Amino acid sequence: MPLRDFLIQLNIVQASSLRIEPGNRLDRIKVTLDGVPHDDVVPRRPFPLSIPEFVIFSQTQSPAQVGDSKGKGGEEPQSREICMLKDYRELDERSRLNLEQVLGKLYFIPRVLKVERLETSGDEFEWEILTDRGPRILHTRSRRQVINIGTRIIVIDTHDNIYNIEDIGKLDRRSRMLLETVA
Amino acid sequence: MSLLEEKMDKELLEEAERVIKPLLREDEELLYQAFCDLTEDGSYGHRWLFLTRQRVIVVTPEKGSKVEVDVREIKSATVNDYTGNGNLDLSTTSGTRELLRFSRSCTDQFRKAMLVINELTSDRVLFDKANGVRMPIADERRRKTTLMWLLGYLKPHLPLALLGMMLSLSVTGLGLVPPYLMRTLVDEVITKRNFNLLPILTLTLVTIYAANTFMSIGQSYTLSYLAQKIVFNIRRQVYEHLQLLSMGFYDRISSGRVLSRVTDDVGRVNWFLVWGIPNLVINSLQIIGIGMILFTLNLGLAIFALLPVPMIVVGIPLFRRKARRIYHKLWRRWADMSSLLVDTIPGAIVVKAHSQEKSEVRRLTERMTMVVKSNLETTRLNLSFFPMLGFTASVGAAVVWYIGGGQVLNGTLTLGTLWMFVSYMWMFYGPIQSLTNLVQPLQEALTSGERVLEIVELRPDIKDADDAVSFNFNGAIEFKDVSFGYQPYIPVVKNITLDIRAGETIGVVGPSGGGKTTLTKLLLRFYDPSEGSISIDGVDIRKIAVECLRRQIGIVQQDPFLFYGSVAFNIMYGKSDSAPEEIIAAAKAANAHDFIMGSYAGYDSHVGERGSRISGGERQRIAIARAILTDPKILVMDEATSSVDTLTERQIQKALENLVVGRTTIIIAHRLSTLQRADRIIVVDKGKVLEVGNHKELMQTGGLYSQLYNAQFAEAQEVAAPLVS
Repeated sequence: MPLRDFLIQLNIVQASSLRIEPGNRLDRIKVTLDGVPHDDVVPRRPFPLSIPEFVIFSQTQSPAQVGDSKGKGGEEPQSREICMLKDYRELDERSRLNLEQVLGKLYFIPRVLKVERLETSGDEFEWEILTDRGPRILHTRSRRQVINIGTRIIVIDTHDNIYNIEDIGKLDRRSRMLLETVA
Repeated sequence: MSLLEEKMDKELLEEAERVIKPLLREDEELLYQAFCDLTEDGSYGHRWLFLTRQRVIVVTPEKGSKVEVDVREIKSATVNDYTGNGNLDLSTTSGTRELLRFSRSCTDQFRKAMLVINELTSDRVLFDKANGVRMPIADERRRKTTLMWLLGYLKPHLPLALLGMMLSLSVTGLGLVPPYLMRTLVDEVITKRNFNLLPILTLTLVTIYAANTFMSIGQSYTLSYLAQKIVFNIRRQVYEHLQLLSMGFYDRISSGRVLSRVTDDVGRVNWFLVWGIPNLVINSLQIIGIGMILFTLNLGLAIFALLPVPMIVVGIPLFRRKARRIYHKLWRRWADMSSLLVDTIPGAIVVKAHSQEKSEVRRLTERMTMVVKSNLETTRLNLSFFPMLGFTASVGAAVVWYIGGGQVLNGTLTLGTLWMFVSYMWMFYGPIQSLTNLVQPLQEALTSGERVLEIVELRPDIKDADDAVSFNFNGAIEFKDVSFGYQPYIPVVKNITLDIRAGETIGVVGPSGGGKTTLTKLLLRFYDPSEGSISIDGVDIRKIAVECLRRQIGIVQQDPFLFYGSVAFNIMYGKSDSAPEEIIAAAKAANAHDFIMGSYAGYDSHVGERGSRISGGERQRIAIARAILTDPKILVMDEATSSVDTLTERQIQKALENLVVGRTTIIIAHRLSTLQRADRIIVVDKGKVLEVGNHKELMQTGGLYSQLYNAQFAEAQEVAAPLVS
């Protein structure tokens, strides 16, 4: 099957055909796609770091719902994906806020405001940073846990926590100088 | 083939023409000529073989003698391969005789000669004269000298280089002024007590030093900027070139050795350019300048001052010749050491599993010892030369003191002039000393440069034909009489003929080492077949642009290599401009989307060093997504499911069901259950196709396939039996 057919199956939709309301749970939303309502929807970001505006709307299903009573072992948890949206910022204001509310819960990626201290012993770095969620001390083990994407830097600590430096240029001089040592 | 080889071939052809011309009869046409490098009794020597329609002629050039055989008497010709040499036997009406003996370097041409002779005897000769002679490649193949090659990089920066040169000249010139002022100070100011001149003199001196300082700064920066530019270009060129080289190169040279050349050796060249060349230039200029001053000042004294010069002129070339050998050895041993590290550190798991830590330390120690030995050898060489040189210089200085002092006492020389002369003389030894000190690192850098140049001069075996075409594949593949061996004449694939229709799914099975993977390597043109041809949609793949070919063939290997980076980066590796939704679509097609979404940052999650953070089955599916993203018309699964468990295999199978639609798919497998859906299954063993057919047909014929299948099936039952009962 050519890739084109797989692309069609992804069901990428326009922002205008979607309406998003709060769901029954704090981590769920209610999606209305072309007038058809879907409850218990989880918004997921396939590229949370590089393309955070890309969202997949899916409904997780328990194995019984997957419809395989024989229960093939080894299968990953199945989820039914309702649709994908390439840029959720195009949604209407209400929908966008409702969505961001849940996304903010599902994706905890603090924004780094300031680098206070950055010390190294060989490959391991100890960072003391100030984020939009408060101060934090973290460790990275290799240079590759500090990922440059243009003017953005993603820091992944030894526990897979993610920190986001949105624009190095907007940091203060001292933070930039400290960052130079890892970049 | 490098340009040099081509040139040598041309010379050889000319020589061959001189040899054969007088021997040919009027109606005779030369069909083929070959050059061999062994005599009948097995010493090195030259023999020519000439083939015409009528005769086979062997010429022994040093004796001027020849042997000829009438084609009508020949029954057949055979080439025999032995270790390190081979021969060409002629079977004639009067028995079999050895015609020529040759080292393996010539095997190629005599294989061809054999074909021509055999065709001659069967009267259907159609020989392509252009295929001419190939000569064993001599070691002395340096086309340009390393120095010229390095200097060639200067060309694009000529204005800057000139600026640097001008600054160097000025700095050197200004440096020569102070001793002259010194003479004035002694002879005019101090001796004649001229107070007015003193401040002027001092001021001049300060001005000159100031100018000198600023120009030195400018000169250093210009030259180092230039050097950095050049090294940058070299590194890039070497890396670009490495990417172009064919798989054959990577099979021959271990990656550690290549790395050592790209990093260590280029680094040494860098030093040479940043530091060596500027110093070389400045010192030479100083020597010339001061030498001229010394001679014009006092010829008699100058001769003594120049006492060490002949020693330098004679000694340095001698030293260099010796040093070159010794430094090459040192760098080789460095590379030995690095390649061991590059091998064992990523292979840590194997080392530990076999508890070979101690033996690895021992291996490294051995190589380090060799490096130490080599280093000491270079030290001994340096010490045998440079201290002697220094001593000679000092003796010259002492002589100048003695004679010059005498001349001042006699009144034939002013004190100021002697003072100036001595100052210049010490200034003269400075650059000579640093020039001689420079010779050694220069030598290091030049040998390193040679090693880098060696790589740059390698020509890729596989490159686009001049008339290469690009087109969209339909997917029909044809192997026509394909033979190939990684080593000449040890074929891994023998006369394989296969016709694969567009869109067909072909399973390839057979014992390992039977040539299955080699077939895919040939299809991707990692190597060219030695005989026969492979075509896609009727076009010989040697006529298809390599990029066009490989872009439309997706391959998934048994142990796919993932680069350090995000999952998305790995999937989009073959198509860096893919849209995010294409990446997701490819992952879905490869049944990889769900586990990717389950990891901590989805498609932005990193796979570990060499992909170690994810399981074998996951890695396999990422590789499938990567292969599928370019939407290839031909998909090759090379034992893609061999290293994963049955459940993971089932998931990959599931992915494949969608993928094979509309693509020509070649699935190499040893688990036969994988292949039941294949349109046709090809059984390959010992480089030959044994059976072709679908599962049912092959089971009925009862050949190797049915044996393999029954063996695997029985095994499966044995495992299952205790569970059932």
